Amino acid sequence: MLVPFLVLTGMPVSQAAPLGLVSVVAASSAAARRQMTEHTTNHRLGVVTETASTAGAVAGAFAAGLISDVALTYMLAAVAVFAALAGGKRKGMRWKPDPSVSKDEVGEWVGSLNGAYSLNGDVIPYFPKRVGAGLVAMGISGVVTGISGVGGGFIKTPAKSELMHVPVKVSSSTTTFSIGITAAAALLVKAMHGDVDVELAAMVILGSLVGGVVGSRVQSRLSPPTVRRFLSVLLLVVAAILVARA
Amino acid sequence: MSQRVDPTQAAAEEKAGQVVWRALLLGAGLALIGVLLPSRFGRPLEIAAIAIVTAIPLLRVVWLIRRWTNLRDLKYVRWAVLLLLLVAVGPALAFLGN
Repeated sequence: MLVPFLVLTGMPVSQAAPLGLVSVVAASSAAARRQMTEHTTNHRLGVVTETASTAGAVAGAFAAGLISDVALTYMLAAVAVFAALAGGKRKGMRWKPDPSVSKDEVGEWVGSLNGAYSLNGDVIPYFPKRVGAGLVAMGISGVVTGISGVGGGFIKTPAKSELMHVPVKVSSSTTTFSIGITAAAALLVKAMHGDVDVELAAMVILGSLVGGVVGSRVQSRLSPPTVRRFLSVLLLVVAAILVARA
Repeated sequence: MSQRVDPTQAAAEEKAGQVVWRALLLGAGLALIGVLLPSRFGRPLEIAAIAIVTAIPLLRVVWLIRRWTNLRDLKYVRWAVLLLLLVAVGPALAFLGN
């Protein structure tokens, strides 16, 4: 969200993109303490999906320049609207509490991408589906990141949730973890090219620390359908900003 | 291999979360002092802050590799190593390009 906002205020994309990456990295780590305490981050799922995403980002970086900025912006807006509609139309929760799964089993499960999370005192197990299709979606989101420099979380979270049937809380928490990795790698590249405004980046770190903490607290207090509706609205806002940019 | 939670996971994740938080506070503290000081003195602190914040997500993956190796969860160790290798490709190409 930071990059479109900065661009709308008149900052060139080349200056805004590294600041956006700093904000993603800092906010990802700021949310980590609460998410790791609640055991909603599935690190195995994050690492597997981020591998496809990072491969896509490297390919996308090489492909940058083949697609015009306007075409890319409309493509991003279309993806955001599609993800918003897919998440917003679904009612209720996909995975239900299972009394046979104990509180000791909350967290990610060893040797698989499965796991369980706690909600209102209940334990809800989940079993990701369509991993291959999910990896393709993550690869595409990586290509988009490589070409445009946006974080890609707005593609990754709904892809995990709607395509792979990962609960939205686990999906958003895992995406928060994984986008920090790609953003850190991209930031290293920008730093080596001397593209990072150090003073502005320091200010962004301070702001992102506050935003990451507040965001993870709000997320932990909302029900999954509320998180999904909020995400849908946010995606539509992103789409509107992108179209305005184009 | 059991398909259930590692019994040490909760404590390890909470400890790792604390370490991440302290590192982030250190980075934010350096960033704040760096912004407040004149740029001649503040710039090295701001660079240190950016370096710390950038290193945190990558060090989390290294921490996962160590934990999963101890658990003999080698399939995911391989995925994590592959991820770090792919992450290294971008900066390596940028370095070669310079």
